[in-house]
Amino acid sequence: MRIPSRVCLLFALAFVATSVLSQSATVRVAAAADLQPVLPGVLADFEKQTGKHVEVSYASSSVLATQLLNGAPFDLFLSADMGFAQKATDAGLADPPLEYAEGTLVLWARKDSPVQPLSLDSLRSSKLHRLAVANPEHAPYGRAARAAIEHMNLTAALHPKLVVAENIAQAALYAETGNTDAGLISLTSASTDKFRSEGSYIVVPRDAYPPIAQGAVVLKHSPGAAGGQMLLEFLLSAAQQKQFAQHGLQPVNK
Amino acid sequence: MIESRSYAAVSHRFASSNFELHLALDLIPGWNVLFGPSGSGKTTFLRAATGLLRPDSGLVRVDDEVWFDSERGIFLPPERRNSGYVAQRPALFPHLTVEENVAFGLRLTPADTSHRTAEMMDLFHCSHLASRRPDELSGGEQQRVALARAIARRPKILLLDEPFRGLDFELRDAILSDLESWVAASRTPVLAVSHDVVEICQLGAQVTRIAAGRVVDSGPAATILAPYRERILRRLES
Amino acid sequence: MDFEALGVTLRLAIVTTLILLVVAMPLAWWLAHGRSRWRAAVELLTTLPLVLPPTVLGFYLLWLLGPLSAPGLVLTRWIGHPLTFTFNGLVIGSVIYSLPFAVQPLRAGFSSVPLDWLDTAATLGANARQRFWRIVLPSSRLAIAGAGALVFVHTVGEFGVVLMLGGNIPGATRTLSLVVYDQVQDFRYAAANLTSLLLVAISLLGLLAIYVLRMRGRRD
Repeated sequence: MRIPSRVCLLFALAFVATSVLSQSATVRVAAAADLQPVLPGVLADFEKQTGKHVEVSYASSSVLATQLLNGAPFDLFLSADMGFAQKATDAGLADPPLEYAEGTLVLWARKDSPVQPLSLDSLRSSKLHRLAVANPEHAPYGRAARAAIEHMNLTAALHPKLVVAENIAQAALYAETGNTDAGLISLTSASTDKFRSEGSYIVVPRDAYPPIAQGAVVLKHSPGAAGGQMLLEFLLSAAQQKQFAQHGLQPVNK
Repeated sequence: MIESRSYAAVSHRFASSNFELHLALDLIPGWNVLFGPSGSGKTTFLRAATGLLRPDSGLVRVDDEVWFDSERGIFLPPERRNSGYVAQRPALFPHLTVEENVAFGLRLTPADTSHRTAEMMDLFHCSHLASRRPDELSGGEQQRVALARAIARRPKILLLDEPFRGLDFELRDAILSDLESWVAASRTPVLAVSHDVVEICQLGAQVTRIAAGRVVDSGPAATILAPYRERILRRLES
Repeated sequence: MDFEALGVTLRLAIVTTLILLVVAMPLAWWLAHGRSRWRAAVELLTTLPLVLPPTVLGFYLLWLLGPLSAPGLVLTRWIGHPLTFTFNGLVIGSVIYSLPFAVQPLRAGFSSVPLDWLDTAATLGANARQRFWRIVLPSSRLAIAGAGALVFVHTVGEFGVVLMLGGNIPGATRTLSLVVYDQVQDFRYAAANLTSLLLVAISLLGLLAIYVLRMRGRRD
């Protein structure tokens, strides 16, 4: 069936028009991997309240920072630490980062893992053959994991057992699929229904690692910056901060 | 009628073209020549005899060995039949020398193999080509090697599909005389098919003419080819 | 220059190529000349890794080789630990990932062997196995070499599967492509450039080999 060229043109115009229109009403967010379990619910509320549609890209904070520095068109960057958010500031793309939440490191293992019943001593157990962590070089939770392991004097002992994942979500995946016996993952992952039903977690003591202060920046030169600013304020509001707590992120306005 | 020990009856229908072949031939020791135009079923009949084609029904018996019997559900694949087959194109293996080609089908001790290979290459006057590769040979030389290879295994029947296609008259005669000496000595049935009048003349002997998959006529070459003789003579005289 | 990662990359490429050639040849032969009804389905399956995003492939392999799947459980019990994050596990992933790159050229090479030769060989007493070894293989030398070079180059450039399945373990699963990725993430662009150049050089050499082989094939 030959589609008449005029109909094609009409479709093309409609397509372009809707994409252009949706550009202005869409907020594009670069979000750290640990926010994957948390953001969808929060963003749904935001959309209901403001009518603005949000598109999110999840990756490790380092990857997102690199992309931003190379011109990726995001409006808001929610990093898992202050350092990577600061990189955007240093490049002149944003004002200094604002802390929007605090992350928590936990030790998680499947119900049928050999290291159950789980405790901090499981890290010393000989039954622990493989431990998943995020990459300490680029992932804030990975840095925290490394610090915690050092704090417990287990660096040498655990070195051969570490499986380094690309980001914190991947580390959680490794532990969840049983490919590692346990994982040092984010509380946001461990708090999900899935992880609660499939395993258990122990919170790693706060004093074992420097706080995971998660920083956000609005990319002020981006056309959607206004929307990004709106979203950031929404995230900092008391109501949302309470929501965060339910999903494993500690609020900043305590 | 001579009670022949070799016999081939083939019935086959090609689904794609609706072409039907119904052919039955006694295969006497020596030359059995099949003459017919292109598309008359000659190649199909040959392939059925070798086992490269499994016909719908029929019987192929060579020298008291039953190679195919549709009623009793017997079918021997080509590798289990000792038949010599020379296709329209010589199909020499390009990665092997002439000598290796001729020796291909032999399962003898190394000493016996080289003896038999030498004997065959001698018979067809291609010993001087032993270490050459097929792509270095002329058409006639390739055909000689193909024949040597086919009969090296002392086959129970030799099947030739337009064996001298593309070769000149003198060359055909030369190769034929080499082949004749072997045929006469071994008393092996030879089934040769062709559509070329001159080639049929040279092959001589009893000819069976076929058309559209069926036998039309059978008799000495002179009788079968008589109609062509008139036309050729008229041309030559004008 | 991370020579350890270079070693892992080369070892992975070589082992994958060798294993894949052995595995893919009978498969390609069957696809080229077999007569089963399953041929179409099998061909589709072998082409699948070509169109699947490597990370998807890596994810499925993570599941398949891990203790949650039936085959993974059997493997884990037998070996004592999951195959994920090991060199051998990575080899399995690479073999599947590059399967179409071996099967397609081999199949093309095998199909181009004239049926005349195979028919004649059969009448000379060669059964299917003998026809394969004595006629098909020697005639397909160029196709086989070409397939090998293609698989090698493809494995050198592997990233998505390695990222998912490998665990980035130095000396075992940390390949050059992962090194580049890490260097970029660390904002060490000079080092990343150097490593990338090395990868490009290796790939170019491989492609050159493929090109030369193809030219030689055309001349014959």
